[in-house]
Amino acid sequence: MLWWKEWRETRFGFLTALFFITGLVWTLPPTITLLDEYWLGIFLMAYTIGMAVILGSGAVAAEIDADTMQFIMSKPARRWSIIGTKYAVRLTETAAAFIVPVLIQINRDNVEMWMWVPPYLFLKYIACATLSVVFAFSITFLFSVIFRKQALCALAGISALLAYLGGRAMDVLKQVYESQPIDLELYVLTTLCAAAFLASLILFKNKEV
Amino acid sequence: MNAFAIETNKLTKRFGSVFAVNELDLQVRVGSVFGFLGRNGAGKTTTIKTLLGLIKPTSGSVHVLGMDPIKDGIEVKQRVGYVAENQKMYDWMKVKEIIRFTSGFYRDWDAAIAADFCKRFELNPSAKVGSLSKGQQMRLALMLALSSRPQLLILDDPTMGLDPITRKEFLNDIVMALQEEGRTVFFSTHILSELERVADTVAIIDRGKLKVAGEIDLLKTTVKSVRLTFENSPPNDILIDGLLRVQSDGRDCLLTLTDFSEDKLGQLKQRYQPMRAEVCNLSLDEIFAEYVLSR
Repeated sequence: MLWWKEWRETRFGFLTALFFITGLVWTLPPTITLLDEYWLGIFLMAYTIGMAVILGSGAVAAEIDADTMQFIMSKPARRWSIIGTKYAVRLTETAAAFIVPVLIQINRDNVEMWMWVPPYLFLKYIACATLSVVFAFSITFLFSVIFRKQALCALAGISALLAYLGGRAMDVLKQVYESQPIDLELYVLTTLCAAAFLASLILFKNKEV
Repeated sequence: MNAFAIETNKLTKRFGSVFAVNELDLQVRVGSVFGFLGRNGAGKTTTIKTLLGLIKPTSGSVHVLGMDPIKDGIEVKQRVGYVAENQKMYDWMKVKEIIRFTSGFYRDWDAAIAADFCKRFELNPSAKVGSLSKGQQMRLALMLALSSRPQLLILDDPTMGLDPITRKEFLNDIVMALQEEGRTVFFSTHILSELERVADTVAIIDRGKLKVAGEIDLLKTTVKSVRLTFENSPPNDILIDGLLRVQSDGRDCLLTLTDFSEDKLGQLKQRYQPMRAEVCNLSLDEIFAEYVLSR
């Protein structure tokens, strides 16, 4: 029932966002230049990071703010299942909003390449971009367990993301520019996402509503 | 089987330096309708939240149906129905959807009871929760709480914010639900008139501290007001066992006593020699006010 509720609660926003972005990618002419693809990639990242922030910040804070959290917490459901379902459904939606248009773009280009990235690296680069979006979601999700106001969670999430980008993104971009492997970044992002989720679980387990 | 549905021992909950609940000792007998009285901010909701394991006590112990709500939270919630103050539910769900959603959590969910209450409360299954009136939303919350066949029903100021007519109707619904099964009901409110209709036992809480607990009839028999009229102004040093409050007005002195007896009246007459002594019965409303106002 928790899965159904999460899906019903977020499906309209998710499907609208997905429809818009896939529609945009789908309707672009197949002859766009590399530079156009670059800007499209940047737009796609920014768009899905925005969506990640909205979905992450609304996960727990919005329910506490609207007083519906007490309703669900008074039911015989384990706390980890309440928070775990929220995380899983919203994470899947965020990741799908990024991966689906990317796959469409790749399929339309009809080459095993994503923007200027060589074939042997492109899967890792897509994974890194997806993990960046997932990180934006996970960190905002964590803040939504801590703070009560959705806007505050979004702001804190964006700040944390900017701090991360300021600390590591230039190195990663340099590696990408030089077509180097970015395995370390994949590990770092995976660890950060897992840590953010784990912290959310622990905080929510002890949260008083 | 445990004789008490709810038992707290020196239950304390502190938020920073503020004591929301302070060393509260409560015992709610199985099968009773227990009224939990207190002004707004007295600590009623905090107590109820600790009973449900929604917040952890700072110190002291809580047992609900013989279980610890923190350690056995799932089992406690399986057996307890809860209607919160201004209960908020998912506005976007339809009535039939929220019934299906809630039923998924309970092993003893009774779909027939849910359908019956839905009909009796005139809830349209296809209506959105958000489109229901406040009274209808409270009825829906009560129906959801009762359909899991709980052993204990906790109602936290359920009529708050309802207009007098809806409040009366809602109370009738509660009385009707209570008559059907001998379950324990823990009813928190700050509106006394509604409590007298349904409760057999009450506890009065003020500023987190328990002032008194006992059967309503016993309270009404033992807590009395005595009006002493003197020839001149009344003495300033009136003292007697069980004296709750003293009010002076001209030649009259109004005493509130917690364990009134004819013996005690005799003692007062003998000690202070009033011209006249008149015993007044107190309503639950007045008893509540006397306990809350006596600091």
